[in-house]
Amino acid sequence: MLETIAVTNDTLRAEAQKLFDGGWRLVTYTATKCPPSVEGGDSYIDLLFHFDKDLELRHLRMSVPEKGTVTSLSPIYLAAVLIENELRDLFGLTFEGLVLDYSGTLYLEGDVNRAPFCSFTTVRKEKG
Amino acid sequence: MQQNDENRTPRTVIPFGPQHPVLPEPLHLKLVVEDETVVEAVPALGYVHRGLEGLSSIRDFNQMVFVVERVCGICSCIHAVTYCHCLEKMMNIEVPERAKFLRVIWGELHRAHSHLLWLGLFADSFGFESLFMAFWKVRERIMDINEATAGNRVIVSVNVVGGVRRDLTPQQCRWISNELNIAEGEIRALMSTMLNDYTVRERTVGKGVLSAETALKLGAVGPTLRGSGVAQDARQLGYDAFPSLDFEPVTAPDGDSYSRAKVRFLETLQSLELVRQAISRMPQGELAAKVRGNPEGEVTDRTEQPRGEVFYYVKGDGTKYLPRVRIRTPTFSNIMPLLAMLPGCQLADVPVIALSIDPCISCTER
Repeated sequence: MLETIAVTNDTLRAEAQKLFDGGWRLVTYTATKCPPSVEGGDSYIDLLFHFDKDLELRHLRMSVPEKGTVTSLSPIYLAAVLIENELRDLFGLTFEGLVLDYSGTLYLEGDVNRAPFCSFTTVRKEKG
Repeated sequence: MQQNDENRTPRTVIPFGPQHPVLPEPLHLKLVVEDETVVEAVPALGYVHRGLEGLSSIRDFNQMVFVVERVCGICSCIHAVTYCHCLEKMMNIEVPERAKFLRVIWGELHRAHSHLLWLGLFADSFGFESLFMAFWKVRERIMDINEATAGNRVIVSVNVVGGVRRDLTPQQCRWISNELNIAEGEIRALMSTMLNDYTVRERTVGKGVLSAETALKLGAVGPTLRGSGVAQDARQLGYDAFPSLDFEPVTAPDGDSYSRAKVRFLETLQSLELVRQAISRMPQGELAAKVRGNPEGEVTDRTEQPRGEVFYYVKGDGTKYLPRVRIRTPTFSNIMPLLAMLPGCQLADVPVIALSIDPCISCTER
């Protein structure tokens, strides 16, 4: 198993800010759809955040419900913009505070309302 | 066209790509320009997304080697090496020493032909057709080596989980060394033109400047990062046979398109030298270790592709299928730095600057 630091939506940005201030580079995020951990429970998204400094890796980990919302790291790491938009398209996650939001159209067409890596369907809100 | 206020030049949005003469692959940039000066750029992707990561749920872990090779043709060998590293770590497989050297040989040949391809395209981007043809002529020698040793010019498919599937005979090793000596002479003959020619310098020096600080903040990797003076290269991690070879990252200090071109030019020569070293220091032995059981657990691995660091995360659940294969390719990391290079440049310089990160969009979208 990877050595990871557990974070929540409340602690994610503070933890990322510490890494940014320490000179850590954002490598990428990894999302994995996981089956329910207990019988009768809900499946969830296992979200990993990978950082590098001097060729050493550090990983943050959080669990997110399907169709869940995650605090965006893009105000700290601008490099997170494309990563978070990609995860929105492929896994249906929403990132709160994303500085450049493609609203699910980075890879997908505007009329697609299904996250390809997950078997659930997202519902788009009409603007206006 | 919109007029923001009375004192400002009107702003126009100009689409650059997805089809453009200098772009081998479909990248779309929306350029906001004031007169001829770019003030902002917004990327649009999604033209070649193939969902290759998702195939891990329907292809077993051995078949996935062939899938990851097709993430990108031009760095296919190094994709396969990185994926195999993950499986080998997860399944505690000790790769034979000879296989580690063979992986370096084919990997560095890939880097050399990728850089030569790019150097040609880069020359073409500012209209230097004869330089384009000269680089591609040299590249043919490397492609011939790939074909003679692996049966294919681009996707060599030599890697398997546990090692490699092909060997090099002593005669092939001598022939490769000889071919690389000739190629090196031909590349050195182009050095003066590539690095000192008036046209090249006029079109590249001071264009698309990226400081070391901004490059690190925006997550730049590979020659894009090293062209800003940062000596970071995943080969310093010491994977495969690199601890047995003389390797130091190539850097250039200025952070402009010229610096990035210079790094790739010098790295091409360095790759030829690494192949010759690997051939001369390669031990005898087995080509691959036996693979038993199915992968379980989660690992990450990084290697250096021609465009920079590639990152793999692989998760196994004890079956022959992998619940997750995550691939972060170097161009994906270099798009945000590209957006930082463009503001302030002239519209005519956009093709040169865009090409200076060596964008590979099929890699980026997978």
